[in-house]
Amino acid sequence: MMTPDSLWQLLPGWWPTDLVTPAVAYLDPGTGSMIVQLLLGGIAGALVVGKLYWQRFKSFFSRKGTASPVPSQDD
Amino acid sequence: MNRPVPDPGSFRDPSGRIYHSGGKVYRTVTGQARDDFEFVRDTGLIDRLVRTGRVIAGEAISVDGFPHGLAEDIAHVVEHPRLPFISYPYEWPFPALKAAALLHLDIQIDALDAGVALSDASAFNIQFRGARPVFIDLLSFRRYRAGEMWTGHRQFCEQFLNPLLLRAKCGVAHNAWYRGTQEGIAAGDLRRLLPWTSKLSRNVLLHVVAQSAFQKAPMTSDTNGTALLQTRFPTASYRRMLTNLRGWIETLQPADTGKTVWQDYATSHSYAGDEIAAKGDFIAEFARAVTPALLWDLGCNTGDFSAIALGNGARYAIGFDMDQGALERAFARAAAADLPFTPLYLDGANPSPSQGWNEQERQGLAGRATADAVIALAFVHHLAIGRNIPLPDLAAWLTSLAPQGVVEFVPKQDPMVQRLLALRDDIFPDYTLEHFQYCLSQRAQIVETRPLTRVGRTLIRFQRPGFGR
Repeated sequence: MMTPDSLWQLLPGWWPTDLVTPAVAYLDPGTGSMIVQLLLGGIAGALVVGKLYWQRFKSFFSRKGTASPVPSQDD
Repeated sequence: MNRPVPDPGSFRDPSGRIYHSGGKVYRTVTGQARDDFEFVRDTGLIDRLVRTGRVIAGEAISVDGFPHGLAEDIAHVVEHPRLPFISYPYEWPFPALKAAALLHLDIQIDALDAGVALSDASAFNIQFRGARPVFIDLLSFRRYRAGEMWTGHRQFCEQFLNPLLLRAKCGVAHNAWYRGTQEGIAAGDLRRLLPWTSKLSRNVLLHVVAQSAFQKAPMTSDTNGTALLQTRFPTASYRRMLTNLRGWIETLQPADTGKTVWQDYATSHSYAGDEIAAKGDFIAEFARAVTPALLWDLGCNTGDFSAIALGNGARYAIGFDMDQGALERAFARAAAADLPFTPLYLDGANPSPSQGWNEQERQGLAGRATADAVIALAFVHHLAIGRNIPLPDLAAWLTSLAPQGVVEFVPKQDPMVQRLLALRDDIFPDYTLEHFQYCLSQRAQIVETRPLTRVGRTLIRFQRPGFGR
C-alpha cells in the first residue's frame, strides 16, 4: 500500500558519488541530509535539485548515458 | 609529568586527542587543526561559552611541557578539569538527552553568529554536571565557511533527534537501542516505526522521512553534480534550520504511556509512619560520617536519598534506576534545585558494558566505578528475587563498586518481595538477612546494622577491609 512517506521512493536516484564536503570534515554528512539542506536553502538549491531531477528524467527517456546504479553506502 | 596515556575513546577526529596523566585530562591539538583552533580561540566564543557553563573550561599549557614522542604533531595542549563521572547518551533519561540536544543547538547558533561552525554533532561530546549539560569537545569548533552545509545534521538527527522522537512519538525509550548501535537511530529505521499521523508534521517529514528517502536513493555516476555541489547553503537558512529544530525539540515530551511502575514509589511505598524518616536519618548520618566526593545511588528512584546525602556532606551523586518515569522526576528535581545529582538509566542485572571500537571506546560501568561510597536502598531484592542473582554474587558486586556503603535488605515477608513472588515459585531458600550479612562479611566489614521496619527491612553499613585506616 502506498503510504504518504513512500511517495519519496518515487524519486529517481541521481545523486553523484563524488560528494564534496568541507576539507576539514571527518564526518560523512550523508546524502539525505545534504539534499534536505539544499531544499531548505531556498530557490537556488531547489532549482539545482529540480535541474538534476530533470536531467535524470530526460536521460531515462533518451536511454542514453544511463549508468548502472551504484549501491548506496548506507544500504 | 607522567607519560600521558591516550584515551581509547578519543580517536575519530584527527584534529587532536584526549590524554590522561596523573589524574589530569589533556587535549592535544594537532598541526592540521592549528589554524581553526586559533581562529576560534581568537573570536572569544569559547571564553563566553565557558563563562556561562556551556563548554568545559580549558587552560592552555606549554607544548614543551608535554612529553614528546607521541604519535602526532602537537600544536597546542589544553588542560581540562576532570568531571566527576563520564556518562553516555544510552544512559541518559529522556529529559537529559533533550537538554543535551538543546545545548548542542544553542552552541551552534551562538557559534554561527561568531563565524564558527561545529564539525560534528556527537552526543558523546556532551557530559553532565548535575542536570546541566556541558559541551566537552573543543576541537568540534572550527571556522565557518560562508555557504557551507551543516555537516553534522545527519549525526544530530541520529544521536539526538531520532532517539527523542522514538520516545515522544512511539512511547519507546531510546536507551536499549542506542546502547546497541552507539551511533544513535538512523532516520530510515525510525521512519518505519513512526505512526503515520506523526508524519504529517513538516519537521518529521523533513528531518526523518525526506532525509531517509534521499539517503537511500541509489547513487549513480552519470550525473554531473558540480552545479549542485557548488550551491551555497545560505547562512540565514542554516541559522533558521537550527532555530526551527531548537523550537521543535523544546516542545517534545515523552508520549503518555501511562504511569511507570515505580514513579510514584516515593509516596506509595510500604513503609509505615516514621520508618521512612528513620531510613533518611541513617543515610544522613552515613553521608556526614563519610562525606563522599562521589556517591552512587543504586535504585535511586526519584532521588530522595541522594538529595538527603547531598544535604549532609556528599558532594556529588550519580543515581541509577531503570524506571523511566522515576528517572524523569529525578532529573526534574536535580534541574529545579540545581543539585549536583545526575540520574542515569541502569539495569543492575545488565550494566553498561565496555564497547565500541576494540571494546574500549566506551567504558563499562565497572571501569567507571570511582565512587567513594554507594547506597543500594530497596534494590537488592529486585536482583536477587526478580533476576535470580545469587546473594554471594550480589555482595561481591556491591562491594566492588565503592569501598563503603549502605545496603537495605528487604526480607521475604515484606509486601514488595511478596509481590515479586506472587506468580512464581519461591526458589530462594537462602534469601535471608542472616545469609546476606554472611555474604557481605566475606567481602567487607559490617560497620552497623539497623532494623528499619516491623517486617524486617534492615539497613547495613559496610566498609571494605583495610579502608579508612
